[in-house]
Amino acid sequence: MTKYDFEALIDNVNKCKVVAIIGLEKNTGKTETLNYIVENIKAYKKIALTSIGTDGEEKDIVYGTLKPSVYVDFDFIYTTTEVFFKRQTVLSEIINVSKYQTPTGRVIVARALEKGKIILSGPPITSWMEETVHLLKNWSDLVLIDGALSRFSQATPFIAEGIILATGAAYSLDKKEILKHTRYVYSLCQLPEADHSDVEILSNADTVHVFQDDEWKDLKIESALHLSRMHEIGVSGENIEKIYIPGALTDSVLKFTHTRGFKEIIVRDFTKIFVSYDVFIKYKPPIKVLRSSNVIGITVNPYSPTGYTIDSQQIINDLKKYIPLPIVDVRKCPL
Amino acid sequence: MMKTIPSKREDFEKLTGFDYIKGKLDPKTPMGQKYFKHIQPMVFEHIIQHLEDTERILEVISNNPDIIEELLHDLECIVDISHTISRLHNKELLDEIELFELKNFLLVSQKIREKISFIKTDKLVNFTIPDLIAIIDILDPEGLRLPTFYIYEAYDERLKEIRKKKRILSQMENTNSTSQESNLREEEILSLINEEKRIEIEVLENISLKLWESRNTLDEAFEKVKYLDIILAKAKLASELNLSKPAFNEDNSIKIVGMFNPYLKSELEMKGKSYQPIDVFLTTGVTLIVGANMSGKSVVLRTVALINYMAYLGFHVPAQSASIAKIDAIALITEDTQRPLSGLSSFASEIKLIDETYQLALKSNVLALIDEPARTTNPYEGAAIVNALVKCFNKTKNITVIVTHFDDIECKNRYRVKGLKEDISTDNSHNTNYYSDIQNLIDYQLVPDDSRTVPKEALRVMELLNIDGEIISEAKKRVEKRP
Repeated sequence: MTKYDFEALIDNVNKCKVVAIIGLEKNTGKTETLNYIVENIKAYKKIALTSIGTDGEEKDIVYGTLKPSVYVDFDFIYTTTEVFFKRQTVLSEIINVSKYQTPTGRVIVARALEKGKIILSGPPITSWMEETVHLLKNWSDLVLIDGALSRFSQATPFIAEGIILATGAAYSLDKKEILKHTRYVYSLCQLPEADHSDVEILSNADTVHVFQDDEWKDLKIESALHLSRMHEIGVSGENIEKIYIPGALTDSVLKFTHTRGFKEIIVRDFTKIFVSYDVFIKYKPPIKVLRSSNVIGITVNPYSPTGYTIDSQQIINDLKKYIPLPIVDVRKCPL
Repeated sequence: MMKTIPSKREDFEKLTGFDYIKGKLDPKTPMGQKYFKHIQPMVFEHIIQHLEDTERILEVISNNPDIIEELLHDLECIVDISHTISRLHNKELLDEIELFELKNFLLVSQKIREKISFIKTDKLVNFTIPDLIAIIDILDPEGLRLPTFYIYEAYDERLKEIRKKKRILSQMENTNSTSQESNLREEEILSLINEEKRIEIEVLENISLKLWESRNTLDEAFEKVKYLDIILAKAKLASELNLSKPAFNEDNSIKIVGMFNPYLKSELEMKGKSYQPIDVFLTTGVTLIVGANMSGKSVVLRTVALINYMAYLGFHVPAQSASIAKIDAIALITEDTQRPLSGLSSFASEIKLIDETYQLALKSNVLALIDEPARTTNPYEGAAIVNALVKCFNKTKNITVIVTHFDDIECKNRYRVKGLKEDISTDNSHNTNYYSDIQNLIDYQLVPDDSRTVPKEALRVMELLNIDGEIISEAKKRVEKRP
């Protein structure tokens, strides 16, 4: 990591209004990344922080014993939920209370009136998150979303203009594995967008569609797991050029589409792709997305939760051979 | 309070089509939504109040549509604080989140109050929210009127001191200091936080007490806002569906002019067709309605039930005008009331419901609407049963309507649906391949009828429906053989 990388990352964040930090695995240092970005950008922008659901151990979330870990300063806007709000010590002004409930109560949007640590917690579903981000935008210049690469983060590219991938020792202690996986996820983020006309037709579709004889046909099945029923619903597999899958693209779905030889497989965005690396390499599927992801940087956390440390500099050097983006170690401050 | 048969409200509302009306309602507040979801019949004076206030709001809708739009928007911002209010009544300690919601409620309610007072009329007195400024001041000690909340320093001088100290100490964290110094500082901050929390609770107790003292004003504001939402939803429905205010009469009769079924009307209009409103006049005793198949007899029964039900829930009704008797119960017994899998045959479940209605009719005022009783049994016994029903229900002096296809039913009050228009020749049958087209060929008016037989139009309807010619001609042969 160079000072240049660091400045370039902050510069990239500065160009966005909504940035999501997506961890490739639990404990890949999302929170460190978040605090790191916040620390280096708070002088220029009024910051709002939110999270897709609550990041933490399930029992800690349910019993409300989670430790505050996200740093806020005076005038920061953030979201948390009732259980955590009632326990926190940071003096905050309530701006909004959600209508709906999460397992730890309603989502509270608050403005910090002093600095301190809070528990970030937010809407667990995409549509609700979109609403919340909209509200946060009214109160801030930059919205930072904390999200894991799991079912919760699906559709993040539709909400966030910029995405930071957080990787690190928690994913694997084997540097090669980290390298391979990070490159793989990055390549998924680089998948091309489908043709504009296709995007227009499919953007509100929540069922499987196929492109046959120059038109899109709705198969009226929600999950690609039922694709084998295609014959039953009267669509022959012949001359299907493209297929749109609204749900998860898994290994088995990919294998099925491969046997059909479709020219294009369209998914909503890269967070819907759950294909394992080996299967992906084997089939090299022609996937396109409705919304591409603008990755603006990668962070590496050299510490694993088990206490082991890896050499971040070497991973960064290796990643940089393939990925033309700022890549930084969140534990090292270049300034 | 109004009873219904079927007694399960959900079933009754489905049969009458009230579920469609419910779906059309668009209350803005959570309280309004709850109210309509579990809507209950009201006492008579409330019914009248709802009907009249709906009329008043309708007037505002046509004279000041902009204000109505603004009011609807304000109501959308209302949160349900009923739980907080009941906690307040129990003298419980309210927390910051509750106070935030309460403050929002008060600010929006005050806005609504101002808008209503802008409409210069004395007719909206039932919607006049009390002045809330004094209560808002409790939650807004700095007078900023912002829709946000925290425990302001203005509540207690000591908070200002503590928070200032806390700030200074935590700023020192960044400076270089030994771990011993920083440990000491941390302890000091912790004790400040404890002190702060203690005072904050004192403040909350103080606020809760002050709010408790204003609980009656709060109650009133809450009820008024809820009432405004309910009546606005009713009035918007009335203007959208073209409903009219029903009247209640003392002479135990039902006079409905220009009655229409809102669901069918909208279905027809979507297909570019028009709905034929009809008039219905009913008095005590049994009224018999006869008519061809598909002539809308069931729709008449259901819509009469719907109009009466809506009126007793304080709604304007789907008719040009409606005068309604004072009743204690509405019974609607029709084909789909019966549950084929309930263990009883369709005949058994029907006749049980009729019996239930009759028992009720013996001791109270019931509007009994019975669609083709005994249709599933043989016509010989069937006609005897219907004759018995006419005689027995006549004696109860209730308003009863029976629809039947049987001949030889003796009944003083008798109506016939005019039925198929005379000038249709069956040559046009190729135009009526669709069930819906037949509607154009029927005159749905109810006309007094003094014969003892029912119209025999089933075969003509079959022709119009393009049923296989052989079946029709075979049937015709048999009809003609009869004397």
